Amino acid sequence: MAILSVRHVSRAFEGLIALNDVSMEIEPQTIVGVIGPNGAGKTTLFNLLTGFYRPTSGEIWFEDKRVDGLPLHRIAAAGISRTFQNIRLFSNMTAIENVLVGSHLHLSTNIATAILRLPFTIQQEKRAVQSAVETLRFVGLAGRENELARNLAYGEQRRLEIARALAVRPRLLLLDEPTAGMNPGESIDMMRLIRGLRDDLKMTVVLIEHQMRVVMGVCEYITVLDHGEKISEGRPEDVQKDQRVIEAYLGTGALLSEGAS
Amino acid sequence: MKRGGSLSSLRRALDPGRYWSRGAEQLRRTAAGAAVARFGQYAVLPLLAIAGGLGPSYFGIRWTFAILVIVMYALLRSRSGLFGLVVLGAMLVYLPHQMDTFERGIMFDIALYALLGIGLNVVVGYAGLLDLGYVAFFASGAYLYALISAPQFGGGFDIGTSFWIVLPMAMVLAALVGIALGVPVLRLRGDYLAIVTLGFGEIIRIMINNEDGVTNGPVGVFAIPKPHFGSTELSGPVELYFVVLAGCFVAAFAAERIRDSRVGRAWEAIREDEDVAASMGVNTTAYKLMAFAIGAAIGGGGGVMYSAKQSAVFPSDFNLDVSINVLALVIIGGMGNVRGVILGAMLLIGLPEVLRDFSIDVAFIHLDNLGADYRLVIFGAALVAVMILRPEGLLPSRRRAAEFEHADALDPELAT
Repeated sequence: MAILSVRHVSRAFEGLIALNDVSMEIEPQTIVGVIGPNGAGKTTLFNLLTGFYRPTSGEIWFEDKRVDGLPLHRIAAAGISRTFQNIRLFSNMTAIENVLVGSHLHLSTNIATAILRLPFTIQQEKRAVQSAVETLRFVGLAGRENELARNLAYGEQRRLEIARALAVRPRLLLLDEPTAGMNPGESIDMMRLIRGLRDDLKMTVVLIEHQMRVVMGVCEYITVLDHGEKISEGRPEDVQKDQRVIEAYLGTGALLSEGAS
Repeated sequence: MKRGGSLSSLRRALDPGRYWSRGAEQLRRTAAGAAVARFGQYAVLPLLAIAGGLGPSYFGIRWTFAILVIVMYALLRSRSGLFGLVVLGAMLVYLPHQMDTFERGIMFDIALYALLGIGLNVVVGYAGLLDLGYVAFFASGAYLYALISAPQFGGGFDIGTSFWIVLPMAMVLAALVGIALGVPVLRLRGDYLAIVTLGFGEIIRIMINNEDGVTNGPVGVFAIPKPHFGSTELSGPVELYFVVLAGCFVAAFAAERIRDSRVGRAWEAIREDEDVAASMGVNTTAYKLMAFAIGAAIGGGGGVMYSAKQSAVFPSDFNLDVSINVLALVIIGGMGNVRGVILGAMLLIGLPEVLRDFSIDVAFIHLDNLGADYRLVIFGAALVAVMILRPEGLLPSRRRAAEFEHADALDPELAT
């Protein structure tokens, strides 16, 4: 039974079709890669899955629940969380505060209990801080808890985005270019982290990635988009051999001459 | 760039906090100084407090005010805990007894505006929603109390203690007005939100002005009774000042606790990046409404107190100036920080009054009426200077300070 089911989803922006009739099924506890050249519609797909955009047509089902058209916070509550291609941390908040915002849904303090600061509230807050510290340690940010997010190094910011997304305790995690701008060493650490998400936290992970080494190294299943359409999917070794994928990435003589005419 | 450099060094040179900490640092270096620094606050602050307390009769209002501001700044900055609070409390309670009626009125106004500032700070400072129509909530509270209690409407119940019943009622009413405003404007951000709230504030005032049948229109409502505490009538400005002071304390306490909770965190996240906050599970609509409602409730409470103090309210009391003044004191004092707001209220409301008897009489320069004639010019210049030299406000929250530092780093032109 698929955890996520994308059914004939299209999205147009005033005539420009960013995504055209894309369908995909994702099995629980797998790591799935979404690849494709620039402008293929990868991030648009993520924005549709997390409610930033509504599909022009088609349906998105998550765990037997239709999620397209739901407001952002309801989708988070349903169990989907994400990171962003252009890092979007709460940059003037500390690392741990970023993670604590992620755990918002799992805390219950309201205005009244915040003012009264009941023992229950204090306990809950303590536990939340503790679990945030653990989450930060899990992504390799131990000791950086009280640093402002914008003062963190680039790679650390990417990790903090993952920590914040993890604090939502999603069952489906979407990572938008988790290794962008990282050196090979950092990329390898990130791959280890991503495998840990599935093996230790039993999550389903979908990632957009440009570094083929990372995609081939960590993904069990790959979906290839080009010009808003799904052109291929399958196991990494099969996708690598797919003629259409090679064309999309390298172009062909025929395509080139057509473009020139 | 050169200009920017010199301005920012000037800005640093004029930063009172810098001298405060540097002075403390140098003091600590000497052995005697170390002892003074350790125990100094226990001696210096009471001395200052006594000086301030001897106050108006001895030093004149101007010096008393200066001392009060310095003590407040020191206490608010150093977070000197319970002891500082006790000294401050003693001073604020004791001082008005040494003042004449006019000065007591000023103290009341400062406290009232501090209360309004604490309320608006929840909306603007915490949740980042620029509200230019805050006066609407103030007016709702004031008119609710006036209409329920004033005899000219026959309604005029013999209210006795009912000030204390109307107070929570007015807060609830204002909160509802806040939500009523919030629902339609929630989709708007930034400048658009500011314009709509501005209009809303004016609509409420004009409505009060035109609905003669209900509000008595521009003629106003008179003979609003004073509140009672037990069997004592709280009639003088000092007694009502204490009511507002208590209100400030409760509101500041509540606001800081909410800020330090999950709710405050959600507001911060909304201010930083609304969409991302939502995708982390924050119901941004509900949280923005919450901020509006809390800010409005505090404003409504302030309105009831204003109504009780004035004994009469008119639509013209609730014009745009009130919203602008409250917003200005929040910005000057330091957005996002209750302590800054209190300091802002002291300066913004107190300073124009204190400047009244400001004069220069040196050598051949005799400007006896300088303050009386030009106080608002001097005041305006002071506000402009603060905004140029310390755009984040006098006592900003840690986070707001970080945001401004960030802006400096990003755009040196913006920083100049």
